[in-house]
Amino acid sequence: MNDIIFTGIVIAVKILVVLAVTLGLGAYLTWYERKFAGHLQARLGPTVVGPFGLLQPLADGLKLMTKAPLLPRGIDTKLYYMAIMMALVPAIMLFAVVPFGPSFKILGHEIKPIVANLNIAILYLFAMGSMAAYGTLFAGWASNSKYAFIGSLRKAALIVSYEVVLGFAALSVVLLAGSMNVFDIVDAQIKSGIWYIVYQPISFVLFLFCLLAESGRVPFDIQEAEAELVTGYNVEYGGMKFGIFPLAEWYLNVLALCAIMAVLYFGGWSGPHLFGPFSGFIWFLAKTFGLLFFVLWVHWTLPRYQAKDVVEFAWKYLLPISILNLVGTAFLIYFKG
Amino acid sequence: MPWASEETLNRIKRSFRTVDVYKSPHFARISVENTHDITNVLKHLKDVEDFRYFIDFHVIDFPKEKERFLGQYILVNPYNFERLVVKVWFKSNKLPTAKNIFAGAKWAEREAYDMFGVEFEGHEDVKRMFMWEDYKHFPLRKDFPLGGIPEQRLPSLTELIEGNTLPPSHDYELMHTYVPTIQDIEKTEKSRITKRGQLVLNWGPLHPGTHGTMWFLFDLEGEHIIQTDVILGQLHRGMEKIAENLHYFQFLPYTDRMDYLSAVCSELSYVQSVEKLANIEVPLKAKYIRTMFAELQRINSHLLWLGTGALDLGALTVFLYAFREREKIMDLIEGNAGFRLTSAFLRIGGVHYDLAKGTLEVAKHFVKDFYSKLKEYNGLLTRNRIWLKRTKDVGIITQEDVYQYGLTGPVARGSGISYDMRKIDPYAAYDLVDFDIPVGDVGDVYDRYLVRMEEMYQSAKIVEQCIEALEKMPPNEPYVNKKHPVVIPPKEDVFNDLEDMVKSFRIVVHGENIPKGEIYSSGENPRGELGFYIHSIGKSSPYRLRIRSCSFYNLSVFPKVIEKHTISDAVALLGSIDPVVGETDR
Amino acid sequence: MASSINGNGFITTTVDELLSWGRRNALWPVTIGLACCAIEMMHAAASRFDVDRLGMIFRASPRQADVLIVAGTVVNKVAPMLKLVWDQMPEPKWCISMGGCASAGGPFPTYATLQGVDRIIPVDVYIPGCPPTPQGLIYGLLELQRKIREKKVTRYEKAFEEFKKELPPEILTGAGV
Repeated sequence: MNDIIFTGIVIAVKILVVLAVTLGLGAYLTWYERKFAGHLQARLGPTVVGPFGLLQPLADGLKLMTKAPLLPRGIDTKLYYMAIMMALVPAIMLFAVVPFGPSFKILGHEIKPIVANLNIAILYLFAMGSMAAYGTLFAGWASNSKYAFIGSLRKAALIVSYEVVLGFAALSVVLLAGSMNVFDIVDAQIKSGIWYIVYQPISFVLFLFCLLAESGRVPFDIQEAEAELVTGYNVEYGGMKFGIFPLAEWYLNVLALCAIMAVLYFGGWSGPHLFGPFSGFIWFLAKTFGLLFFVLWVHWTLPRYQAKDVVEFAWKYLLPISILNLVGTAFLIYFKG
Repeated sequence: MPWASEETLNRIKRSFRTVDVYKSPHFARISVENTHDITNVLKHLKDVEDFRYFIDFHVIDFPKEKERFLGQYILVNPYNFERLVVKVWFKSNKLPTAKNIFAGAKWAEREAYDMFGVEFEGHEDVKRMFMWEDYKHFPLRKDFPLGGIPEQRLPSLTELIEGNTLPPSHDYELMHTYVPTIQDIEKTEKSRITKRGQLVLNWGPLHPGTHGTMWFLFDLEGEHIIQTDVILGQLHRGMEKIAENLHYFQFLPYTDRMDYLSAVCSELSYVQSVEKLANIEVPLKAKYIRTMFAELQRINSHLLWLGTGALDLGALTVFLYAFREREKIMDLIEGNAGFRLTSAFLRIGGVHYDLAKGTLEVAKHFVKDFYSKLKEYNGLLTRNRIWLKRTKDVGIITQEDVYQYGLTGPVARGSGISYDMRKIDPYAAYDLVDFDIPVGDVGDVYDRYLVRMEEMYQSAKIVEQCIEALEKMPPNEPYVNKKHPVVIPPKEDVFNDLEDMVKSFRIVVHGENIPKGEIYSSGENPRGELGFYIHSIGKSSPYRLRIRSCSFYNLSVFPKVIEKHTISDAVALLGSIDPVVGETDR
Repeated sequence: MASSINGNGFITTTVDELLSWGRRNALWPVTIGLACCAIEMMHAAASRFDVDRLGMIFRASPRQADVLIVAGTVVNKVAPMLKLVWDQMPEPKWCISMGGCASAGGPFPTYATLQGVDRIIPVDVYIPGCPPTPQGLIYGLLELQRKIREKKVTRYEKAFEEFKKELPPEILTGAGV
């Protein structure tokens, strides 16, 4: 009885912490991106609103929430609202399988800082990633606008192609570790002492491409190429309904996938014990934010591909490479033991 | 040499009995006397005499003559760069169309119909170019007033909301010309394209991706474009009509606002047409100053092209780097002219002010720094795989397209035709400086990109040479030719000398008396050949001022080249053609 | 100064203050550049006169924007399209008329130019100049922020409703527009 209550409280606390941190972090990632882009472009980002512009996301959020609600003429109302939910919910649910650090003990119970320690965590990851496509598709269809429609069709083509490649890329790491459970993968890396990026550099690069494609960032942001499609699939959304889309796609998705990449390739929370009992958490955060920095850097530097080139790239080049990588890894494991 | 020679004109007169030829140092024309002969004359000129490069077609309204309208073609021989004007009178407002001989005449004839109400046999179903479909008037006719016909009450909404005050809060005319409704605009849109594909997309007038208010209609099949049409006129402000009501020097600020990215180059073309017409000699220092600022503005304009071109294709940061360089040039111009963007810096007869103190040092420093920045931009884009994939073999423009549609500037040079007015008919100080003209091979977007990058480098070299020449000049060289009876003297003389004050007063109030005659003269804008045709009857304002705008003809090749490409290619192609709407619509 | 409102409760005043703080510090303009003033608007968004410091991001779709900066000459043909863009923006929204052409027709008193965009759209701030320098545009934006702070957003919308009731309907839609 005590156990059940305790477990229930622990899960509730975990969910609340994850929700609060991710939504708060998502909002502040906008501040971070604007500052980063500003300094890259020889200017300062927000500086006026609060010290260093730190209150800017609050002003943005306040303004977006108090805009008059818009319902354009001719939309499919049910799908219009469902699109927002379908974009936000899978992005948040991705955080359910992200491990933030090593397990620790409180009051005699061992707690793992992960909301749901699934044995099929990687499979769950693919599922949630694919579901995120529905948000864009519904938004494009329900908006009754040609730009939105074209944008969402492009995104659908993108997600379908890159999900397959993502699957094969992540599967190579799963083969090496022998399990889909994230804790087992990190433990395997800590035990062997070498991070999997050394064993699987090709798979790392492929996963990086898929991260850029899934979250719709340059050079794969064809669904909202500004010069062609104004703002793509969210052209008819205003106020906070609009605010959810970049939050879910550009920030939450990227953050979750960066965290998973840190787990799969960089050993999760492994690192020298320099910071006392919290060093695992700090290493994990450092790796995630390092990858995020790289993703933002790519976004603000490179031009974007054409829609047909992106899809061609995935099917003609990335898919054969990922399959070869998988087969090669399988052979190596079989023969090396 | 720009104008057709005596032998050519005599040869043409021998082939056709019913033409009349005339030649002067600044003009060479043939007048066709029978209207139905014009098709044969044009065919002969194109096929036999090799005048195959179509430059312009326009109409002049003479309400007192028997046949009211006079049409004029301007043609160029691309092998020896000779120019010829062909005049023909309309017969009861009709003329055989030239669109089967020169494809670029299609748009020119539509504009003539829109502005004058003339018809063209063989060009059925001609649509309006700038005004909307149901517009009832023909603006450039001499009996139509400049302010239009005010027919509806349109009060200011601010006054209505904040409250009517007596006297009114701000001074405005209550009666206004007719403003079209959304239904009028939709009718215009539907009449332009008959749908053959799956959906018709409005790459609309108010869009961040088009470089201004141009309106494209794409007939799409999936992502591929089957047919396109371009609707212009969203920035048609009526500059040609304004010129007929103003003195020559008063029209100068309007030439700035046409191609607002490189204001000094447009001013230079205009100012030198008037100078050729009135035979004004410009002092040497003014020539060097004009050249230096024109080349700085060319760098300015190409930097903006680079920034927005890269921005449209997704490289968001190049835009900001290019604007950083633009700010430095704008500082130079602001220090000399007082204005950043549309500075009316040139005057008929010279320049407005002498060079400000310190300009030459700042310019020298800028040029030295610019070479390293050019290397940086090249490093970011020229060998980038994604950039190459987006721009190579996209939007190929052939040499025949260039001749037929009248393309000039980097668009023509990218396809291999070295047509540059700075070398053909040198003006300002271009014959005293040393520079090269980059020419491309294939004519795709990548070639035009390389041509413009190299042109920036060449312009920097010209600026360096001008700075050297200006440094060597003695300090009190004149910068305005104030002895000529038509030129307004510079301000410091007006305030200190009685005769100059009287002369300035007389010209400003009554206008100059430019001698009778006509002239066509053009200069090399960063976008192409900007030409001014002035027909003067001896008064202080021109009888007809025709602006041969380079962006207008450059844009007319877009519907042909974009067929079977995708929307993303359309973005890249439009960026490489680099139109400015102030110039296409005037 | 914030408390001297005509007979408002303390709670309402603070909520008003908070909302107007949020709205004026996150003003998102629509990228509608018509002519030469658009170039100066781009310069205002570039590195030297950065308006991103004030929190302004240029959004391409009018549904996601608050402020319509009309930069450039408005021609009769474009007037209904501009009005359509204005109608698509959700409340609360403001309009800045930048430059001489948008304010009163500029140097073009011709048959094709709309003599001032305030004939079809209610304007909040007029910025003179041809074109106004980026410093001028930023000054105009700061004036708009001051107007939002002083006019207390809910008050402003109520005032607009009152005036709208008194006007004849054809004025509201713009004659013929």
